Amino acid sequence: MDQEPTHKFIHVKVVGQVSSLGGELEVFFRIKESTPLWKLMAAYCRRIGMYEVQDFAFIFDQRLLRPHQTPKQVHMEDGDVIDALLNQTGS
Amino acid sequence: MASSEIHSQSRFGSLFKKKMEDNADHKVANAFDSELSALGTHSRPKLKLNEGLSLNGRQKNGSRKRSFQSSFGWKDRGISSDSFYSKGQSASKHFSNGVLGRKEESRVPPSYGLRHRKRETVVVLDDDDEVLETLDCIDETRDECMKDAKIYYPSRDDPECVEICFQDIDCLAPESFLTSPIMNFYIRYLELQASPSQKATCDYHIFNTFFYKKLQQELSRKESEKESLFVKFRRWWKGVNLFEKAYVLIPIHEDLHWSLVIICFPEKKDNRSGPIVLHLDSLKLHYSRVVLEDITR
Repeated sequence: MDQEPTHKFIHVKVVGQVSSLGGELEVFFRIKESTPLWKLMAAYCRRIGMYEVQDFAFIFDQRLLRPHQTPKQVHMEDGDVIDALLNQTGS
Repeated sequence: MASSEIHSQSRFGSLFKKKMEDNADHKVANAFDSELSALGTHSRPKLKLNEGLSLNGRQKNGSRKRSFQSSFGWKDRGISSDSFYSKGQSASKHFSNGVLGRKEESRVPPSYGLRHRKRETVVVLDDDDEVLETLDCIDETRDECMKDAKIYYPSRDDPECVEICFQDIDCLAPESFLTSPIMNFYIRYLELQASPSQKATCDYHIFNTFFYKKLQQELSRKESEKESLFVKFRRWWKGVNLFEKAYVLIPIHEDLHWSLVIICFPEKKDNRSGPIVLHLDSLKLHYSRVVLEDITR
């Protein structure tokens, strides 16, 4: 391994459900393993528009991702998929 | 003369003694009275507490704010749910001391033992109001510091922990919508209550609130893709053998409403009846049939 492991890039896909626009929205990201995930979340929200980071629940491996986590911490690998689901409110 | 003096002295003594006893009696009676009145006031302050949160809020704001700020000086520290709970209690203690303390002074002659005792009872009575109080104090302080405060349950380091922020607590107020962070928090809480250590052996499994949404997504895909996607989808119950559980609970969210599906797997002995699917819906708003079709695949 001549590459520093902390600078390894991975490619992940964020799949959202934006039903009002019809269909799902997939956004591909290239992210360093050591980059906190809030950067990815913010970037995703910028891409989608309309929503803010708090409106989404980012789920990977059935777990809610937290903004300060890094891909390395949650064992994310190249090609993994993150679900971006809108937080639900109801009575 | 001397004897009479002695006599008078002794008489004085006995009189004095009697007076003392009287006094003591009186004191005891007094104390008893005040205790009674203290007990009597309990119901009133409690009412006041409730009202005070909304109506009298402004008048008492100053003192309340102070006590809350002192008890909520923990914002910078890592806030785990445990500390949140204990702080909530201490906040209620502060609160009761602040409001009721003044009441006591005006009505009851200060006697430390009595007061101490009263305080204890007050705190116990206040337990019901705790939520209200915490809500209230959040309103007061959130603008400055609580906005970004987050609570991790069960702990910050738990890989499956649930994160709720202070805004989420707003949704517990009457007539507001429940949000999924709160729902997921409560699901996690239930899970941990039931089986602190052995998650695999407990006889039910609760999915989080996003499971059903995901399930719908998966079902809407093309047939050809389904096989491969199902393998990925199985991650949602990784490490859990669903079919060995007695119950599988799936919270459902649609059209601003929550409902719950319970799948019961009967004992293996009487396998004649397959799994039973119950759909609990408080408003009968969701189309049970659609839900059932989705879940039975």
